Amino acid sequence: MKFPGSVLVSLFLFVGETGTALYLSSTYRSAGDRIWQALTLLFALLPCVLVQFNLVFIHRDVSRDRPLVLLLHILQLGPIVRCVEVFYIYFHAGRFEEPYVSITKKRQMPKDGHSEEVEKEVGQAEGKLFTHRSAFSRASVIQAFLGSAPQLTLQLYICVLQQEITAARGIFMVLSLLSIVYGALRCNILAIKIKYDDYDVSVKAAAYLCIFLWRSFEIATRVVVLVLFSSVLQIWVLPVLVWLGLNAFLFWWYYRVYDVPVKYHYSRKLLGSALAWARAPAACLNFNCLLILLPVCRNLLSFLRGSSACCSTRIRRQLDRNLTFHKMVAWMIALHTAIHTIAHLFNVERCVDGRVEAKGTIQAALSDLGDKTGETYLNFVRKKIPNPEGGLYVAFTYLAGLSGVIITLALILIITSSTKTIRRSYFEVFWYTHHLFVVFFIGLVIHGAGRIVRGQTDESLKEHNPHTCEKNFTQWGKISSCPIPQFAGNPPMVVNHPFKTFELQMMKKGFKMEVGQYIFVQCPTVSHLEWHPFTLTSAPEEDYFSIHIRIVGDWTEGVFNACGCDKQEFQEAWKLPKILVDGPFGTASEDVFSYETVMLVGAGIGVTPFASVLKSVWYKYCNDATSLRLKKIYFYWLCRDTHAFEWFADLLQSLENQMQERDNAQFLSYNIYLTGWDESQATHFTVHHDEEQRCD
Amino acid sequence: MGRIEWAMWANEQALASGLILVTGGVVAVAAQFKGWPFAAYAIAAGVFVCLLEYPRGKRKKGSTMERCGQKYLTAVVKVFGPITRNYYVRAILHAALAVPAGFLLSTILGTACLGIASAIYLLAAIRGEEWNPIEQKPQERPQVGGGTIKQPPAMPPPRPPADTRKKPPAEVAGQENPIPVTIEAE
Repeated sequence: MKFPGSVLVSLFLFVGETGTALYLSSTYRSAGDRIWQALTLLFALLPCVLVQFNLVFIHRDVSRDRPLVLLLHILQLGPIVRCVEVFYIYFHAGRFEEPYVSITKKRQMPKDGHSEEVEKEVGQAEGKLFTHRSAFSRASVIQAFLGSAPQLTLQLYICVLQQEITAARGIFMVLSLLSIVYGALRCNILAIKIKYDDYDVSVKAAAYLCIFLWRSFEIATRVVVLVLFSSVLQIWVLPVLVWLGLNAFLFWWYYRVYDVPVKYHYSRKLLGSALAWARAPAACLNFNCLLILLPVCRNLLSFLRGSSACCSTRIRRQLDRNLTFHKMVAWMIALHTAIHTIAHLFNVERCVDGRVEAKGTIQAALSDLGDKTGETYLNFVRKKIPNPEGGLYVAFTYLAGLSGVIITLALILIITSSTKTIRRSYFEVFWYTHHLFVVFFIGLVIHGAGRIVRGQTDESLKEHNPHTCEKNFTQWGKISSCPIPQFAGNPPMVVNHPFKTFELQMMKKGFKMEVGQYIFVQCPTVSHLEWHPFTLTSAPEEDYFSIHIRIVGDWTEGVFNACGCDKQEFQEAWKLPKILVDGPFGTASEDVFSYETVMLVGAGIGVTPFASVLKSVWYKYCNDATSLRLKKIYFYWLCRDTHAFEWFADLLQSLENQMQERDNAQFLSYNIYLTGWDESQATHFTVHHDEEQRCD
Repeated sequence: MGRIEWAMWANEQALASGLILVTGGVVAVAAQFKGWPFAAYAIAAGVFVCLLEYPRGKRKKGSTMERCGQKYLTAVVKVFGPITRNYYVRAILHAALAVPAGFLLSTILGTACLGIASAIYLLAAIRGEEWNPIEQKPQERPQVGGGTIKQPPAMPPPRPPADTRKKPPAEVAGQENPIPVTIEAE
């Protein structure tokens, strides 16, 4: 059995580092450097706690009745007690007979291409020692990377700032460096052992020495460079770099949000990349306009300056640079405004051209969507006025255009009156013109309220794949594989269905549902006391959950009016009332996936859970048809007439179409029994029964 | 601070409008939007406005910071005399220049800004302001000691008191000036 030397090394480094850290922090405290003290303690105690957790976790002996060990762990003395255990096991190993041995099979390292397998007996003591060694090595790694690395950087930084290396700090830095090197070394060895796990690997001493030297030089140089760089760096450069980085990130991210997903494929066909070029600076503008007012809030700055508990004086002195930061953010706003405006010039031009000029192209087809009833529009320009008047008309009649022009004018006036000449000579002109920022912010807030940017809805994406369907744009709606695409502004909330039914689509973080469950809904604007149950009609696979509400009484009518469904135009999301949701609660329909053949019977309003079931079945079928246990669905629907459930009829029809396309028309067979017929309807159907009409 | 000279702000605003006109015009011409001839006009008008507004006028009170390199344009603008000196003319000129650019969406922002500049110039003109060129003054060497010291001291230290030191410069025994010293005209 190998002497557990690594355990001793780990323990020595751990104890040495923690002890020195505590001593150093007490010297910082007496010198009054609270921040240094706090940071030193943090980097010493955090890995300490993590090491205790690690040791306890690996040994898993908390539940074994050893309260003393647990207590010592809590007192942060875990490594010491474990080391004692290790040596106890080591020295008592040969004395007793092992109750059992385990047999390991390892291959020898290949010689001449040939490696043989060797069996070895591993006694219980050796196995325990192995566990201890690996626990300590893991503890060393945690200590090294989470504790010693930041600790070394910090102490070296302090040395550079104070221009001297005290003895305690010097010893501490050496210990930290050794600890990091040891941790890195253990990582290396672990990597080798994992890679050659089948083999019996023994790492020679020379290898250890090589790795040790390599790592020590590598880490030492890197830490020195890092510390020297950060000590030269003016502290104010950091927030500026962070701010620039955030700007760049937001620009890139939102560019991709509008340039990549298939949801905006048709928007991009209409507008080109100008859509993404307009939305990316819009996101940056949001961010910068958030920041611009902060550096000039005098009361806030006074408060921050006064609160000495907050930060060191060096950091608080950066508050003196508030005007510089304000100007930097202002120039960034001006830049992004320029990009945004120019991109939208292209957008408006293309939208109007698509509506008027383009004939027979896909842009024309896309722009024509929305002319017929039942279609949703993609091109927000509906009037056919040609450019250049068309562009002007759009800019001044739409809220986004008008507010955009006004706030850009306000911004330009603010900037021209802020030049140094004007500021130095005529301060009042600068000061009072700057108050146009109120106009700017009001305009900015309402600028996007129209939700002009449209993307294809998720439902439409399921039926109509833009990549395949874009080529045959002349036949949308006529062929079953490419129905007319539907669009909505972000996000769709209330969808009106015919015959006094409306659908409420909602999203809530963390909401999980199963098929056919129901929720209780309250709408405080209508009534504070009433909670009504509604079955969820969306499938769990969708990213929103929806309920279909039919207007039968005063509460549903109240919600209908509150959601503005009676109005013709699209409702802005911020106008919709607050809705409280309780649930979801379970019902019997969750078992539908456990059987091969199911029969679903729904009567009247009871059909709603099956909307969820059928949609979910559809999603699962699309995902992986073979893993679905369900092979056949018999669906029976009884209702007075289909008027109340037109939306469900549409769903059934689209499902049937999809099934036919996938050559599995036998999957779903549904029978509808209408109990509310009268003679005239019967005659009507008899006359027209040859036509393809299913549900009136 | 005193009275505000509106022409200073109008000048900044007009310069900015010129730049915006040029930008909008370039975008529309490059992308060949419908009605791009208006944009071509806007580019020309924008350049003209920039050149006209670049030289800052002289303030009545206090010193004026020149814009970098403005003296060449000052010479040109000065030539037109009363046309460029009077701010009523400038106000009407800017208003007239702005109008044709208003027919295109790309340049309408320039129109609005130039219109505002024109309005501020009108206000300046009503207050009786005028554009005066900033003249170049010849370089003045600052006089040291009020003109009493014209020559370096004739004798090296230690020097005898002043009244015994009054010797004509030509008879200096101890020092010869390696570089001839000329007496400056003021």
